[in-house]
Amino acid sequence: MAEWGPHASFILLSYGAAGMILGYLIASSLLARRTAEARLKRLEAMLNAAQTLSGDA
Amino acid sequence: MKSILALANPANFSRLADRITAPLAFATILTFAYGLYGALVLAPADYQQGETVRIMFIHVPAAWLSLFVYAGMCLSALGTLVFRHPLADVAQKAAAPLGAGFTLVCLITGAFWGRPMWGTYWEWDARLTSVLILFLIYLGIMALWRAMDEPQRAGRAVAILTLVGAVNLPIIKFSVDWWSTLHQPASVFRMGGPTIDKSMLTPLLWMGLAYLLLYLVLLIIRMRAELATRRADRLEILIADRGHV
Repeated sequence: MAEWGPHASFILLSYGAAGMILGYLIASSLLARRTAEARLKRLEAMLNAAQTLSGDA
Repeated sequence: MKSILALANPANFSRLADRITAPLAFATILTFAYGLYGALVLAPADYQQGETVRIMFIHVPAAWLSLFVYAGMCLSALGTLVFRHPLADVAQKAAAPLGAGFTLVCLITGAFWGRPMWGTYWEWDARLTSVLILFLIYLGIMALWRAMDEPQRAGRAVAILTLVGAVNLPIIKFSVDWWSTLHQPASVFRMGGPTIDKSMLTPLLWMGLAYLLLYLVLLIIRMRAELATRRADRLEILIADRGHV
């Protein structure tokens, strides 16, 4: 850090902010997919169970 | 063309996405690692900007991606309105938050570069202001998606808004040529080739590739999430109609 001169804090803040924003994009994307697929699985299981009970299947 | 039509089927898209997501994510990590090593270690200090030039390696690719993502969204908008491609509005919805994120990275890192170099975090200069407008357009598109329940209707409304907002892209690109701005003119994508030295251009291009790969990985993940959400919504209606819920 010392070798980055008098503006090292601005460099670190930039990389830190970029890392946080990109990290948020990665985390929110993974979470969105996980949540959506879990919901889909739950509903598919519910539908299958209901079809089995009513003899639709 | 045939492969694009084949991908119009969400099942085909999902199968392809399953195959390529992990290798693409691995390539993204490697490219970021090499790009950051080049940006923080290999690249020399600039003769004018000194070490502050290192901010450029995360700022400039974010700026490229903010425009690239929007240009892709314009193609998706055409896909929605003209060709009624079933994945076009899915891609558009998935891309908007990513474009907003890259634009925010561009604005924030630009501010942190501007303070030591220009003596100010922000200036109402044509380039900075037009990029801020791009960020606000991204937010508007995201808000419009949330405001409408029916995906097809929302997709068409968003497509129109996206195409209207496209007028901002040439303004951003040529603002530094059309007006006297504080922001420096293009030094990589310009007539006559790059003016930037190879020792800095190489890590910059690696970082650009890393951002691009990250975007593609996240786009695929978000498109899968959106497809699963839409299928779940349909199932929920089906279950409710049958009186199972």
